[in-house]
This record gives sequence, structure tokens and C-alpha cells, in this order.
Amino acid sequence: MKKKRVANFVKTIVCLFMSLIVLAPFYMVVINSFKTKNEAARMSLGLPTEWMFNNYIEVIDKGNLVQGFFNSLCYAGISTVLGVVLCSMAAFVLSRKETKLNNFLYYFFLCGLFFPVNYVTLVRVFQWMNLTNTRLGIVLVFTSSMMPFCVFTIYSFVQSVPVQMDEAAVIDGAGPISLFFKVIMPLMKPTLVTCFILEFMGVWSDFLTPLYLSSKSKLFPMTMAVYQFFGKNKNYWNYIFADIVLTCIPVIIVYLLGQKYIIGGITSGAVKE
Amino acid sequence: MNKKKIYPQWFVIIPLIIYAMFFLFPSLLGVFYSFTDWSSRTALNGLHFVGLDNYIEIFTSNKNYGSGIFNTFRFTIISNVVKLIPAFFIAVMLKGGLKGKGAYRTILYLPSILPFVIIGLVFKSIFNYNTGLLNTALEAIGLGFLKQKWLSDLGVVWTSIFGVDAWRGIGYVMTIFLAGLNSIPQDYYEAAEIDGANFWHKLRYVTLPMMKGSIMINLVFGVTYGLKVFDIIYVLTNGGPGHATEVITTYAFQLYSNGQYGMSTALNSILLVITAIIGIFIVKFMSRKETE
Amino acid sequence: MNKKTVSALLVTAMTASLVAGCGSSNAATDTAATSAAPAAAATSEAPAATTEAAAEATSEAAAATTETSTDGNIVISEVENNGQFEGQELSILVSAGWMDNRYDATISRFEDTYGCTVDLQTIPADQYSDILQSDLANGTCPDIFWIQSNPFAIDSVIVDPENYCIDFTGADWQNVMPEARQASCMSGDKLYGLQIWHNSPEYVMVYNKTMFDEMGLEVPTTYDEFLSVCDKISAEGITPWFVPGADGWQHQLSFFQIGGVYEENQPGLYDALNNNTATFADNEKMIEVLNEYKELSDKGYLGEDWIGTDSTNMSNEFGDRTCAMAMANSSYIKQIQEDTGTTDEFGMFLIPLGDNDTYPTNPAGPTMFGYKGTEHEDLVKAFFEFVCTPDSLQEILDNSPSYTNLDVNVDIQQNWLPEEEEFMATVDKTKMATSVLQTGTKYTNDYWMDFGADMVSFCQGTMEANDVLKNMDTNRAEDAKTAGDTAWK
Repeated sequence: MKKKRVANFVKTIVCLFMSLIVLAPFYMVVINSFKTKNEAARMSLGLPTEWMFNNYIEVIDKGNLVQGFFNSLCYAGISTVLGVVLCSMAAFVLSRKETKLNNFLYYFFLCGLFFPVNYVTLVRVFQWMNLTNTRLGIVLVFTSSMMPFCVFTIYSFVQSVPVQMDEAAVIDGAGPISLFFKVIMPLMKPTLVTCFILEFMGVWSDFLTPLYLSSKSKLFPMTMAVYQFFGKNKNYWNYIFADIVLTCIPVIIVYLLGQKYIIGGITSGAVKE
Repeated sequence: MNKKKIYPQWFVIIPLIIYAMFFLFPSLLGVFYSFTDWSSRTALNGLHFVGLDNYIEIFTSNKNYGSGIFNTFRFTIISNVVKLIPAFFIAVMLKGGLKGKGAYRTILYLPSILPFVIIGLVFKSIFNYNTGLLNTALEAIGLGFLKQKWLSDLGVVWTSIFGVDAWRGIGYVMTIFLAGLNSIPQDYYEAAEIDGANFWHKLRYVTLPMMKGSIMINLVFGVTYGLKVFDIIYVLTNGGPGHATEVITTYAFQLYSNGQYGMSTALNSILLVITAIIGIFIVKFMSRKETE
Repeated sequence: MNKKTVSALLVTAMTASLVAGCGSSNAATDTAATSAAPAAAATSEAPAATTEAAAEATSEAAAATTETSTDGNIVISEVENNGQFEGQELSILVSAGWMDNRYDATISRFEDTYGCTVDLQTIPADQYSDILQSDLANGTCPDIFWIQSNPFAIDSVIVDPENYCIDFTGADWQNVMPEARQASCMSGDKLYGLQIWHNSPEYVMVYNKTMFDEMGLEVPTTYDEFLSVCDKISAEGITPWFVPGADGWQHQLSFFQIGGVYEENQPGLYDALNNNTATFADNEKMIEVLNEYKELSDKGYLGEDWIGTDSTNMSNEFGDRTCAMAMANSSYIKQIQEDTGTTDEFGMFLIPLGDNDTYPTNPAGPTMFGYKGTEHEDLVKAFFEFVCTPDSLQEILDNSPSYTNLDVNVDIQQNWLPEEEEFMATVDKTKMATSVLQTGTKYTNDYWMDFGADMVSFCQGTMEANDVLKNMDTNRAEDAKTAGDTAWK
């Protein structure tokens, strides 16, 4: 027992040490967001001589954060829900119905993990389809870009849902749609929520896609705002950090809420390999 | 049970269309440009097919693309070693009954949320020779002789990059390992203990074999990330000092910035092929393991 | 961290751009001194006579390079409002740093005057050029766009102004701009752009005068004097010359801003470089300057780790007195004093690398263009007129805390710093004839960042000085070939 106590003690020290290293930069960002521009430039760990709470108000105002927030929410929320649902449908069929074609399609989706996104050609495609400057277009692009990851992850989990469940449902008279939405999806909840959370975070921090695909600033996401405060000769470090804090909060909330699903979700997906 | 009816193909077709149209097709179109003389002057000169000219020029250019490619591979290997192994042991450590492990997991995962721009900003400040947090802290605890020019000394700049990359990535890797660990049935360990196994035996004969899945996932993502690494290098050193930390993607970026779009796309395509080959190899290897 | 997003981001970033263009052009362009600078500075003390004297002096100084400009006070009036623009939206694409909040008041008045709205899109500097190129190529460009312009930039950045830019030839606001700046706004004799920028000395050496006085130091005019000044400052444990090498675009200013010294050393060099009858490589003066820079680096006079230090904390370094000099704009003096509240006094002098005593003339700056494919050409034209009215210009200057003047032929209240006036009085007018190297020679500015990286390699001993120059030649040749320049086969 003593061995365990010592081991735990050592573990705790190590974990505390690592947490310190991880949190130090975060602390730097937060504490400097309350300082004046010049104090913030030093990026020290000290407390502000004067707590500039109105940095946050300035940032929300100058960075148009309210509009940006709703745009980001729209892009991240809608595209992720759409993406996860569609990918789970695809992964389900690909995994259950093993044909040569489906096997090929699985690898076809996987290829996307390695392929780069090309914005210039994407804008061309958009023009052909009259989707420039539309929220719909942006959402569709985000949806499509998350497919490789989601298909990959969900595919491996689906295999752990026994086929007997399908058969039982069919015997009870279920058609394909109710089979999927009423039986299979609930069983896959952990994995689906996992994908949702990871993809949500990814889309939220992607500011380049809307930048390229729209030429109207009212479509810009929240994460664009930080660049308002960067400049060749004027760098408002305090505003930059305040903006980052505000931009990260929604993501952290989503992460905390879904934390238990993530651990559970990746578990099932990964281990079934 | 009629397989065709229960598993309708249109479940696959709809996502496939969206994926192909908005992702794959523009991507492939982009690759097509690598066979042209696409540049910033194309508006005036028009676009012309030049075949393999761009590729040939890359391989015969006086720019040191070779060192960029070497750096890319070196980064891939070392960064994965630096992330995966510690993450594995941290996961093992956090699995056991440790108070507050939920808090630790959350904290360690946080770095991946920060945008790269901010990571660059903050760490450039931390690495500052005179006023940076790292050197100041080292001095404070009496290790002043370890002070370095973290981002400009050719001997340590890569170490700094690996360090920041690990800071950012270990949490994610660890999370996946934790998931894998949590699924190993406790009785396996008990059986092993009965057979007289110690910590290392248990690790080798029980833990590792059962973790093949999560190890493979981390490898696939890790290798893909390593080969395509850009942001972390861009924000810390931008390929510098001089050209010491250039990788394939920073060169591609420079080519693009100089208006040589065709050449830039060619370099990216070479990277794509390398990544795809290695990636698919790992996936196929992994799938074979699945059946075992 | 979502790997897929990482890969998307990576490639995104790859297709994004332009540290190079931004760094080079902005660095070179944040300057704006034209040959009219000394005149303007010298006459600001007599406000009444300012414009006329400025105009005359302008023509005098300008005689060295260009023809005389017109009379000194152009008054533009705004287009009459008949409700013709009611409800329309004008979109402007600009990079961070070029408009910022300075135009807010003017834009607001514009919106009120005509009952329209303005969508100002400020793009991060790194991405700006790429977004612009993408927009131009795809025909999705906003009504107005900006570029960092110099006499060669329209052709190399916009490439096809006939197709992309509204032709403003004959506009009454043309002469609001001094003649030297008009060159950056025209291509093939047609007027496309409007450049409202300041004329303060840019990227000269700003130094702590109080510190110099305390140490009994004189402003150096030769390299040897400079070296000895650095020596004495360094002995006090203070960084003589603060160089933010980690920014990537600042340290090479010391090489390019003294362009006049290369031309003096080899008259006709600029033309030769533009006609491919001379190279950077083997140029003795250039090698001399590079070696001097390396000497300063080796001796630690640029800061112990200048390669790893960026400009984040620069004001504080001055405020804390941990450095004595830095290359900066004259407006930076105001910034140091505001940011740190220091009571030290500052001054400026010309950088004496290579024993240089020429002034960094740079008729360049952020320039505004109208997009030819706009749906509101008249609204765009009205905006250009509106900006050039005396009221607007005064407003813009007043809202630019970091600029002390606007280089326009209009009678507005300028705010020249006494330090600027003092400095300009010491500069010999004949030393303003040559523009800086990156603006006076073709294709050079595009490789600003590359040259900087090579300079770092050179200082770290992994490259020879002549190789740095050779690379520039190779790069320029590549650009020239792509442009179909007949001077390069």
C-alpha cells in the first residue's frame, strides 16, 4: 500500500508540474488582456497596475464580435450537425454493406485526410454554382471538409453495434430510415457527440474559409476580429488577448460539456480496431 | 433481411456528392494547376499547359528544397516520438486511481484550442533571450547556464519547435490513449499479476497489445500532421533563422507569395503524394490488424 | 486538435499569402518621403505661407528628379447629393494598417451625406494580397481596393490595370497628390489610383538624444564614428542598436534604405539594374555594407539575440533605456513618449552604413483604386472626390495620431514634430535625389523577405555576403522572365 501512496504522490507532483507548464501561457493571455496596451506588450506574468475591464467592451465593439459570434455559431453549429448526421449515415451503410464499391468508397473518403484544400479553385466552383457570398455555401464547404474524419471515426464504431440489432428492428417492421434514426443513432451517441465536438472546434477556429468565400464583412466569423488589432506599427496586445479570451470561451464551454462523451466516444471508436 | 433495402445506397451517395463537389473536386482541380504556368501574371499572359516543367524545376532548382524535404521528414519522426511516447506514459499514469484526473485531462487538452497566431505570439515572448519567461525562470532557479537563444541559435531552434509542438499536441494524443487504456479489462491485469508479472511485464504483454488501435490512430494523424506541418513553424520562426527550419510547406508558401502559383501547387502535390502513400499504407496496415 | 482541420488550415495557410509582399512593400512603403519633404518641413513654421512656400520649395527640390508640381492649394469639392446614391452600399477592401480607424469619421460623414452605407473590410496583412488576387481573378472584388504602391507596383501587383481598375485620367483630384507620388498611381499614362500618405522621414535612425547628451556622444556621420558610438553605449550595458530581427521584414531596411549610397558610389546603377546591365552580386559597396552589418552583429551591438527578438516590446525598451537607437519612422518618437511616458528626448539621423549620407526618398505608399467591375462606378468616384476635400483630408490627419502630416497639395493644418523639422533642416537637398533601393529598382521589393532571411544566414556564418547578393539577382531574373521583361533574355 505504501508503494501505491508514494507512486500516487509522485504522479500528483508530475501532473501538477505539467499543468503548470500548460497553463502558464493561458494565464499570460488572460492576465495581459486586462492591462493597458503598453503594459501588455511586456507580456509579463504580473498583475495589471490597473484593471482595464473596458478592454473587453472595446474589443466587442471594434471587432464587431456580436455579429461575428452569430456567424460563427451558424457555420459551426449547422455544418457540424449536418456533417455528423450525413457521415454517420454513410459510415453505417459502408460498414454494413460490404461490397467492392463500398470498400473503395471508404478509402475514397479517407483520401480526404491527406488532400489539401484549395481555396482558389473552390471559389471558382462556387461561382459556377452561384454560391458566393452565401451562408449556405460556406456551411456546405465546412460540411464537406469534415467528412473524411467523421466517416473514418464513425465507421470503426459502427462495427461494434451488433448486426442482431438491425435484424431485430427489421423483424419488428422497421424501414431503413427508422432503423437508422431510432435504433442505430442512439447507440452511437458517444461517438457522434465526439465527432460533433471536435468538428465544432475545428470549424469555429477556421476563419480563412469564410474570408475567401465571401466578400462581405457581415459574413465574417468571430475569429477574424483579432486581426483588427494587429498592424505593422500598432499592435494592441491587450485587445488581441481580450479578443482571444472571448473567442475561446465558447469552445471551452462546448468542450467541458462534451468532455465525458469525448473520452467515451473515442474509446469505443478506437479500441474496436 | 434484404440488405439492399435496409442499407440504402443513397445514404452514401448524398454525402458523397457534397464531399466530391466541395472538397475533392476543387482539390484535384488545384493539382491540375501544377501542370500549368499559373502565376500572378496569368491575367495578362493567359494560362498554358507546361507538363512536368514545374516539377523538373523544383528538382533542379538552386533553392535548397532538399533540406526542406529532409527537415519535413525529420520533423515528422521526431515530433511523433516526442509526443506519442510521453503521452502514452502520461495516459498510463492518469488511468490509475489518481485524484483529480478529470481536471488534469481537461487542462492538458486545453492547448489545442488556442489559435496558432496566439501560440506564436506568446511563445515568442516566452523565448525572448533577455526578458522571456523561460530564461528568466531558469535564472531564478539557478539554472542560468541553460539560457539559450531559443529561436535563433541553430543548435536549439528545432528543440524549441518540438517543445512548443509537444506542448500543443500531447493533450490530444494522451486523450486517445486514455480511451484505449480504459477499455482494457481489469481481469487481464489480475491474471498477469497472478503469473508474477511486474509493471514492465504488464505493460509489454497486456497493455501494448490491447492498445494497437489507439496507437495506430495517433500514428496516422501524427504522421499526416508532421508531413504537412506549417502553422507552428510559420508562427515561431517562419523557416528561419536564415533557412534553417524550412519545411516543404513553408517553401510552397513562399512560392505562392511570390506569385509562382503553378510551382507552389506542384510542391504541394509532391507532398500530397508522399502523404497519401504513407497514410494509406498505415491505414491498410491498421485494417489488417483489425481482423486479427 | 482536429487533424483534419489542421491539414485544411495548413493548406489554407499555404494558399494564403503574403508575408513577403506585405513585409517588403509595407516596410518600404510605410515610408513616404518624397522630394517635397524638406520644403514642407522647413515652412511649417509659417502657416500662412506654408502652402505657397511649400509649393515653390516642392518644385525646387522636385526639380532634381521630376518636373514642377502645380500650385500649392487644390480645393476639391464633393459631388452634389441628389439622392442618387440613396441606399447603395460601397465596399472597400483594405489591409490592416492602411486605413484602420483614421477614415472612420470621414466614412461616417460620407454615409450621412449620400444616404448610403460603406462596408469596410479590413483583412489581416498576411492574407491581404492573396485575397485581393483571388478576388480580382474571380471577379468578386469589392468596389474599392488598395495596394501598397510604388512606381512599379501597379504592373507587378495588379498586372492588368486596364481590366481591373477604373480609369480616373483627368480627375480633378490628380494634383492633390505631389507629382512624385502620381507616378505610383499611374500606368501607361493613365491615372488609376489615389495615394494620400504622409511625408515624414521613414526608417531613419531614431536615437535617444538625452542619452547621447549624457554620454557625451555626437551624432555619427561615418561608419567609423557609428562604430565608436556603439562601442561606448555597449560598454554601459545598453543595446546600441535595437534590431527586431524576428519580425523578418525590419533588419533588411538598413541595407535598402541607404540606396542612394550605392547610386552615388556607382552613378547610373539603378538604371543599370533595371536594364539588367548590372548585378547586385560583386557590388563592392553592397558587400561593404553587408560586412559592416555583420560586424555590428558579431560585436553584439544589435542586441544579444536580435535574430530571435521581435518588435513587440520595442517602445518599452526605449522607455526603460535598455536601448539607444533603432530604425523607425519619425512618428515613432511620439509613440514612445505616449506609450511609456518617458521624458527623454529623441532625434533622428541618417544611417551611416557604408558612410551613407543620402536621404531615404520613397515616393510610395498605400494607394486606393476603383474596381472596374463595380456596379456603382459613380458612387466610387464620389468617394474619391469626397476623400480629397480639404475637410476630409484634415479629418483624416487629425484622426491619425501616429502621422504628423499628409503629403498633399492642399492647405490643411499639418502637425510636424519639431524633431522632424530639426532633422530635415540638416539634410542636404542634393542627397534626396535617389529613391530607396527597393522602390527604385524593379523586382527587388518582391524578394524583401528572402533577402532578409539570407542576411540572417550570412550573419550566422552559413552564407557568404556575395551569395546573399547573388540570390537577389537570381530571384529578380525569375520575376523578370515571368514578366516577359526584354532586358532579361
